[in-house]
Amino acid sequence: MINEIKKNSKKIVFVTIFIIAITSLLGGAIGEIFGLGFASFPFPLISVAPETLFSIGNYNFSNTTLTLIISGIIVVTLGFFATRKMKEVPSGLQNFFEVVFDLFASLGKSFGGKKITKLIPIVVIFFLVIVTANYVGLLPIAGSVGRIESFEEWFHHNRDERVELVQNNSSIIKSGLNAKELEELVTVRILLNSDQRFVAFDDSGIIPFGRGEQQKVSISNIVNLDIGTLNSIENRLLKGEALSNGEQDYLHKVEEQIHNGVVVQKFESAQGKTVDLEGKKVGLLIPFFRAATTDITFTLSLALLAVLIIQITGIASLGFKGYGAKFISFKRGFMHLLVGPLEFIGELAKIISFTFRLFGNIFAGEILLVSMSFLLPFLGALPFMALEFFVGVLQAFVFALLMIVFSSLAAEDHSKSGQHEQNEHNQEREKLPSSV
Amino acid sequence: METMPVSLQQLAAGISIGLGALGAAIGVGIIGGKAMEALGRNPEAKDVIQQSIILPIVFAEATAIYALVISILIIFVG
Repeated sequence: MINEIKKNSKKIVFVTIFIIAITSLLGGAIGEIFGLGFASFPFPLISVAPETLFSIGNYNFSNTTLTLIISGIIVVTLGFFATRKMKEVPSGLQNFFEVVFDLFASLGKSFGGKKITKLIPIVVIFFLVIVTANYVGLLPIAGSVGRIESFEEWFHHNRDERVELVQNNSSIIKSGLNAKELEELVTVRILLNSDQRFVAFDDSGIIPFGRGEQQKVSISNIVNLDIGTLNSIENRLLKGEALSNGEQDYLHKVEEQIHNGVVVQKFESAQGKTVDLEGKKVGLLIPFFRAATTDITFTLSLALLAVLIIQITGIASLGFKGYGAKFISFKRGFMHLLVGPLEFIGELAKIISFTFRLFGNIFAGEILLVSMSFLLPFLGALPFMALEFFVGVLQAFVFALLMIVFSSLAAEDHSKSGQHEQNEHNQEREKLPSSV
Repeated sequence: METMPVSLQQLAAGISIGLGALGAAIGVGIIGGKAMEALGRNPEAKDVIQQSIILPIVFAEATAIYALVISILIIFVG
């Protein structure tokens, strides 16, 4: 009886997996070519810079900051509960933390010896923070739940950015335009040159339409673009002439259409079908949560802290002069004068390598997950999720390990160690006959 | 940048990650091969080899990741 149940449950599992696979194959991007893409979703906005959720004055609070706060709270809470009622023989949460600590303590001892023992708690903190920050980005809500930025907001944000860029760097546009004309010129340039595509949302403005790529609305379907008029407006503004009445009316109409931000006409999708989305609002999805390590600012701060800690370890072990002698020293021969600046450049290279190794791995993983789940909706991301779990732990471990290795390298003493040990060894040998 | 044609951007991104991944793949392959050789000569050193191979592999991958970051920056940020 139990064997029958086991065999049946195996069959049920296989059949379920098969059904999910077929659904995902037909519903995703591959099925769209045959007109069946019912489970596809629009390609979300991928940007290297983190998207801002709101801004307080000049400070932009981005979604990676929110995730970082959450991961920090998680680490501190776990650490708090692990240290209540500590037992001699650990179990549960305390055991987990002791495993991590022991791993880095043994690594530190094997690499650096006694000089590194003060560094181990800091290294463990780096490891835990990076692992948590990587894993929070893999939660189901990260990357898909967010707020919708309307077309008007995107346009104004883009325009203000470019106006500021031109105002700070006056070599881009060489004529003297006042503020309003500059805005108009930038508007026209954005309308002509931008190939950003948008997503149409349903009437409540919350859920995007399925059918993925087919629904990506380009700017020409939101604002009626009249290329001739736009080009002539641009030429007139660059020459400094006033605009004609017709051109000004056109600009007013364009502003109104930007303000509305709806699809104004039917268009043809890349597959050649007409897509009818008139009257639907367009926008872009800005996710609320994004892994904190996909923010170059965060990884750069971690890298700067790490290199600072390495320098401090070196200075604490060797003294200021002793450590500085690694870079500039006139007493160690001619070759050392040439090698010293190269060592300094090596320190700067450490900052860059720390930053980009961590950032690149996690960000590339995010893009990989998004594109895989775009191709095969339910199953495509599974093996890559496993890879992401592995990579998250591995990169944090490598960061911490490299801190240990570089600190032990910084704290070791090239010039005197060989001679010092040799002298000690000789003294030991000289002492022996008198004691006997 | 609006001045660079889009096709040149995409070509640059493709070449960047292509050459970067080529170097990394060859490097990791050589490391793995030497590890297998060492394992074959001395099967008792399995734990030591497994522990110490992670670091060289991560270093070899890191350069490919730098190339990937450059290609992402080329495509998405001008």
